[in-house]
Amino acid sequence: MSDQIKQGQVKVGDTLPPREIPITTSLIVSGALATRDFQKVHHDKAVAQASGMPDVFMNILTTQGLTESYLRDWCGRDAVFRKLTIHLGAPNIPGTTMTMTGEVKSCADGLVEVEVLGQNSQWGMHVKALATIALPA
Amino acid sequence: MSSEDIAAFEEKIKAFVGRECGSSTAKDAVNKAMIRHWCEVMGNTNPDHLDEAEAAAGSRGALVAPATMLFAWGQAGYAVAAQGREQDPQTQLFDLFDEHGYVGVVATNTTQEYDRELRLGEVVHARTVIDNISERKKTGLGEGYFYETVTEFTNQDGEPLGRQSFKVLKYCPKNTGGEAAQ
Repeated sequence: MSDQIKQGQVKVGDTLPPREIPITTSLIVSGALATRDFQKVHHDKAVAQASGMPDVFMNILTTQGLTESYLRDWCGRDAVFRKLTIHLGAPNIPGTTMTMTGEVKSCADGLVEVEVLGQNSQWGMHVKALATIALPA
Repeated sequence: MSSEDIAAFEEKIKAFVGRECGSSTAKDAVNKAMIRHWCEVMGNTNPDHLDEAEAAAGSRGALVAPATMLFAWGQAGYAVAAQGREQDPQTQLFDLFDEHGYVGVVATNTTQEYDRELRLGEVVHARTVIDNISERKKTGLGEGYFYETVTEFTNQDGEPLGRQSFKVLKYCPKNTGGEAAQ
């Protein structure tokens, strides 16, 4: 985790260090269970394929969790999440990589808005997120 | 479907707007073990989620749950895989779409707002309603309808914790010609 970012230390256009996340069956299944999501399409390949997907695919709660953790490593320990909007795109399927990037979109009144993109190496944009985070003074 | 059939169908689905579905009280209070298991997978190393002593000495003064765990507390668990989802107005709406050929499903948007961070011992109650259903739309996947649920989260004392909206597209895949898939 980075040193704590404080109000006044960020500006619009600042970017976050990119992060590559290997998308594996282990990550998809473990993420589904850690978020208590037992829908079979997230742990049973045959069921996922019957739904038209090539393999098990990442559940939304894991996408949210990975986004929060990516942002946490940038904003530091004391920052507080106020809002997270997620627009979902292509699936995260085993054997691919998701590259997360982020950019500051606004800063005002102690709040910073950061856009996070998660680009899947094979399927395109997996997630476009906008997080509102309160920074310490 | 004829235009009369579509009108009748739309009347049926619109009747679901405002109905409560899938509300829950978490079986486990906010706890260190579930937080740690979540953090392990997500790669979250914030000591304020993981170490009670460090958290007590930090700016929060106590351990808190990661924000995006909000929905996880009330999940039904393994029963979903073993027995399937319990019937409620949302599953009935889903079935109605399926019966009319709108068998495709994709979640498109979700927003969570956090009133404050959750502390150990809090019991999360979630109340979900079907908030709105769109007009029939042409999309890249096929014709269909967007419906949105809204969930309000409170604790055991009724204090607000946050809310979530969740938008889903139920669509008729382009190549099926509107026939229900069996």
